[in-house]
Amino acid sequence: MHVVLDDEATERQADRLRAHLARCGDCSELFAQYRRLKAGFVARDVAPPPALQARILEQLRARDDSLHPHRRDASRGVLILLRRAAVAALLVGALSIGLILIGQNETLTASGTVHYEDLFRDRSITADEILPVLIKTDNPEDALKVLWRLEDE
Amino acid sequence: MNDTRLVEGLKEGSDEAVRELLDRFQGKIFNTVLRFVQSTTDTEDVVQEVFMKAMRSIDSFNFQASLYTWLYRIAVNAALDHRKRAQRHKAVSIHHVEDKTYEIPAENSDPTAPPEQKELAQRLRIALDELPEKYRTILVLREFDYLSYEEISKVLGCSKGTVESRLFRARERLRKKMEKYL
Repeated sequence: MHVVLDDEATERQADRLRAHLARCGDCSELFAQYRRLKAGFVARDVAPPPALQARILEQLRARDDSLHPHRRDASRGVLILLRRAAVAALLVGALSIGLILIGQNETLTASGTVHYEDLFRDRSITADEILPVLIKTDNPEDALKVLWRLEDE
Repeated sequence: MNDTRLVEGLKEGSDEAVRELLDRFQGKIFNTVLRFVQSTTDTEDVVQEVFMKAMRSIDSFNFQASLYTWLYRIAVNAALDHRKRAQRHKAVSIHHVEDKTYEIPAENSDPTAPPEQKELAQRLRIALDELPEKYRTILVLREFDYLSYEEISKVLGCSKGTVESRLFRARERLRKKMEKYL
């Protein structure tokens, strides 16, 4: 009965019900009641309040983490970059101060003009001298590698 | 914008996509929630919650169901949660008699219907509200939102057989309550 009421019945099920209702007064009355009951369900859609969309958008923006998970990741990436930039700036600052303090006119530049091997071999460099050399070069990492290799030799 | 592009836009956090989502589904979701919550103020809160939840979990949306079905499921669950909370509150609140949380919105009835039909609809809504939650829910999904048995089974996470038997019991209870008006 209910599958017929809800248009979910097969043709065969509907035929069987119709045949039964034709000869059964009680079921026929019951079916009629269900149909009246069903007719009582009247749904009319209501327009949502006009301000609702703006409220939702506002709330979504306020909770940007929820709205823009990728932007959140991007901003996290920007933060990391900023942090790295800050560290780099500190290092550059420290190197500059070091140069001034050392007060040496001779500056070492990288880009192939400085040969760390020669530098370290020619001057029997001491531990105290390592820092000024590193400070004066713009590629301390390479310098250190050479130094360590020479020490190993 | 089709659903695929809309979802992509939402996953990328596009404002345009969010507006499109609201333009397309806000009205339907509002009415679905209203049928459960029956107070326009509370419905607004629940609808907000629905879209917040949807945006929080949009990354997990994978088109196993349509976007609307997915949103609809979130809406029904949020509305049912709200009803549970409201009922718990009702149980402990001494002010409930004055607080018509379950006021039936007058604007939801058909103004063109004959008076006897309007009265039947009004009585039906009252009777419906007195049914146990599972029966009320299934009738709302079927009779107001016109969901098929298959769709109801997906929304409620039960079998089609359960949908059929629950609908039968729900209607039978409702018919008994309404017998003298039918």
